Amino acid sequence: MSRFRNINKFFKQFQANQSKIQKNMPLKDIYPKLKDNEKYIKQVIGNSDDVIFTKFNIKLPEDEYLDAFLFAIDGIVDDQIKRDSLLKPLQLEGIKERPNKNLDKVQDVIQVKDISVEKDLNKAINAALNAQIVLFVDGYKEALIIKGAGFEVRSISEPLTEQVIRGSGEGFIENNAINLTMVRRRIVNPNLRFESYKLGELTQTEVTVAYIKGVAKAEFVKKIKDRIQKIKIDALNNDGELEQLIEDHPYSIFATVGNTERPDKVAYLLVEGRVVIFVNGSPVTLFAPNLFLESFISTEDYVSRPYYSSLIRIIRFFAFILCIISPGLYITAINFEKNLIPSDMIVPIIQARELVPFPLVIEVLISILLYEIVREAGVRLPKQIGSALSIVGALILGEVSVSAGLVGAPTVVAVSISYIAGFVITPIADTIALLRIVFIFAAAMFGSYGLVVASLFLLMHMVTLTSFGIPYMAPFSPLHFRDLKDAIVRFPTRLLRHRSRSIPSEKDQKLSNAPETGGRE
Amino acid sequence: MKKICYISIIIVLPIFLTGCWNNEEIDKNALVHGVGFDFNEETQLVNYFVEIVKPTQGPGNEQEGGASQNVVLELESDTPLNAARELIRYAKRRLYYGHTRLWLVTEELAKLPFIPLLDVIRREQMTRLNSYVFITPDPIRDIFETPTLYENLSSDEIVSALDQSNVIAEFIPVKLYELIKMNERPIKSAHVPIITISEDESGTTSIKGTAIIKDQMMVGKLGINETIGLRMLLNNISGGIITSEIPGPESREFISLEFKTGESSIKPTLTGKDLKVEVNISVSGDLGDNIMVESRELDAEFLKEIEQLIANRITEITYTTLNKLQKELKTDVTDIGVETYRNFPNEWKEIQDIYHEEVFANAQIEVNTEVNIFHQGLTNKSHNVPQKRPYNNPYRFLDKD
Repeated sequence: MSRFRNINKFFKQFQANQSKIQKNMPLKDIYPKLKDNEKYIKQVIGNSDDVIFTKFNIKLPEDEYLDAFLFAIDGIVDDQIKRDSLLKPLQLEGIKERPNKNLDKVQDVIQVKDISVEKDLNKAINAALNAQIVLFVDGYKEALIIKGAGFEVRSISEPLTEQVIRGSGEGFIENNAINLTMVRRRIVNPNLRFESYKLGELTQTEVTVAYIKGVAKAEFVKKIKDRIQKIKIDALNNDGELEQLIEDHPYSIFATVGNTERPDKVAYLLVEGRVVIFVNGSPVTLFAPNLFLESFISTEDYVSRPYYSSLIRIIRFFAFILCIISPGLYITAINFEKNLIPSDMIVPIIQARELVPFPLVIEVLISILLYEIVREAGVRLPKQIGSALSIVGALILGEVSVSAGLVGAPTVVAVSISYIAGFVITPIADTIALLRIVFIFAAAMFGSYGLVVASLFLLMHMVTLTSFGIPYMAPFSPLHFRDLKDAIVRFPTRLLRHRSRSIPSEKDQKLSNAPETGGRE
Repeated sequence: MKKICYISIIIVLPIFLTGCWNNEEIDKNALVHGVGFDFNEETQLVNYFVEIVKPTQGPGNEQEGGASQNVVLELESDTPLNAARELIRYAKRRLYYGHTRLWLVTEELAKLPFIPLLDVIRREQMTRLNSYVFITPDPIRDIFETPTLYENLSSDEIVSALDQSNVIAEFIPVKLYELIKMNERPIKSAHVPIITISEDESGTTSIKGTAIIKDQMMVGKLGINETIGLRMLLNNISGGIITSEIPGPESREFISLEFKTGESSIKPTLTGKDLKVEVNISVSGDLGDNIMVESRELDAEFLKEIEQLIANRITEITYTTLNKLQKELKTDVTDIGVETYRNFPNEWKEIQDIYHEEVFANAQIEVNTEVNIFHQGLTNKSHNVPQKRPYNNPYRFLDKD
């Protein structure tokens, strides 16, 4: 372990050096002369095509003019704002008297109200890169930063990964501002807080932490914010990177930070007392704490009647076990405990096995490999070639490979059951795919003993996991008895009067009164 | 770092292992579904038969029926375990007995003390104690090779019939552990169903009667009706049909009871060597067949008559069974002996050696039967001769008269 500690030390030193190098850009006062400013900007930003300098004159009384230019990045600022609210009033109407010390008079004429004054040239450049318009006026050591972002965004549509039958059709998009409005519209409360951070020296990615003050536990929120603030990284490209940087167990196969693309789910999570993290540029939001139970719950469970939801939840749990264990159990039954196979079923199984030249484990691994290849191909393939893939895929995973003697029909069934069951619980699909293989190896080497030991190790690992200090397996371990009302089964809504104990919150009750119904009025 | 090293060694090492000791590919095994024991008089050795699942599907399997899916091997040996090992020479694979559900013993062998042969089966961890035992008068190879109706193997088919014993009273399935348990009772006797190849065209197997075993060998057999009586005496009444002829002048009229539940109790009184037994049988069920020429209303009065008729019939059957057991076979396989032992444990010591031949054979047994019909079907009416419907001609205008 000592070697590892050394490596860690080295990493820390390296990180410290890095941050020294990438210190924030020094203060640079704005030059009074326009030409100097332009020169400096061009020097900093280079000769990029999308940088535009709009030079114009501000009309003053008595046919006098004041030189000025707008500095902005093409395509990310709204041209109409620039034309109608900036250039038009300044050029045509002008200002009534020559401004003396500052640019207040100019500011008054501009018809955009979100304006700030900046004295630092470097900050002004940064503002322009952040989709703002910067107005420099000749002779003044300050610039006006005008909010005028205007770029194309994807329209709001239902997320393909989390579709529901009965429920909202909205999904998050890549733009953070729009995403936040979707949440704000759902939770109309002054306590809803959005706190933003800029991560990534190069990318300057906006990361927003959302929570409801007074519901989410303050220490918990602080823990997440602290971790985010400690990140010093060149580029934060997506939400997954952030997730892996802040989670409790970065080396576990289980994700202890959850993710969703649905605004309605985010609203539900926030109200429960969780913290949601938005990463600009990604439609996927992160949330914490993420419990194991989360993978078995869909927002739709709360929409439909409790009985069917409960049945579906039980099926999801069953599917999880079936998915990770079925190929392993199949190997155990055939290679180790032949008594496990029903006597009436043994004839087709043995006849299928007889035709396959490989040992059973290899046979199962071959079919797992084929499934994974077909799945991966199907995910990345352009839709136009998709039909060709499904034809070939069906060939190699089905009847043809059986009749070719590559795999036996019972193996195909055992592996397919496992895969189909895995599709039921998509949030942990990748974890399951690994567990399945682990169980196959355990069963192949030690039979039923291996299966039992592997499940024990899995359980042991799962109960040690935490999500920002919250036990991953709650409410099962530690057992929160009250939370079991909304765990494997879901009780009717009027019985779920309290927030979950597994998730830290400052407000306990969520339903304080429900009308008496059922003819008892 | 050391820790990591150890863990990775632990993870890597098992990969080089060939696997756990009981890891065996299923296609290296021959799965035995049925075992048969026969006696060869010339060599005085036991002939062992095994029915094995045929691992490859033979061509033309569809036309020949499922029979081609099995392989029957035969070997002469002195002990079962020896035979099991030696059969590998023929099977070319290790025989796996975990799926054996049927044990057949021929009558020739059964007439010798054969139960000790089964001892190894009881102790071996591979074999199942909940498999079934049969005695057969026919050659074992023929039984294994009879064409099956539904299942792939004859053994499976015979066993699947036994699941139906709760609706049919004409055989009593006996599992291996039951046979062993019966043999260890104080009366040291047992009963095992007999299976034969039916003589009609179908040539399928059928269960016919019960073999009676005393002192580890077969002493005789009961017929089908006598088996029903035995079932009554064993308090093993779960389902079946009792038919009775209605006494009448000349017409053959039948009535039957489809019994669902029942109970029998045995009350022995032992004075010296005199055994008096009171057997009370109560059976309840539905009214079954009602084949009558002159129909009658199925009222309470009539049902009472039927109940009496059926009760008489059951008593008659039971007496036949007892008669055969007492007079002909001099063997008690019913619970009478066990009940006597339970009620008179001290006296039992004196009579246990002569129980079958003297005490049971001369016992006075009284059978009382009570029948209760609790349902007479969906209608209260018997079958009536239908009245002729009036002829309604739709083309009346075509009639010329």
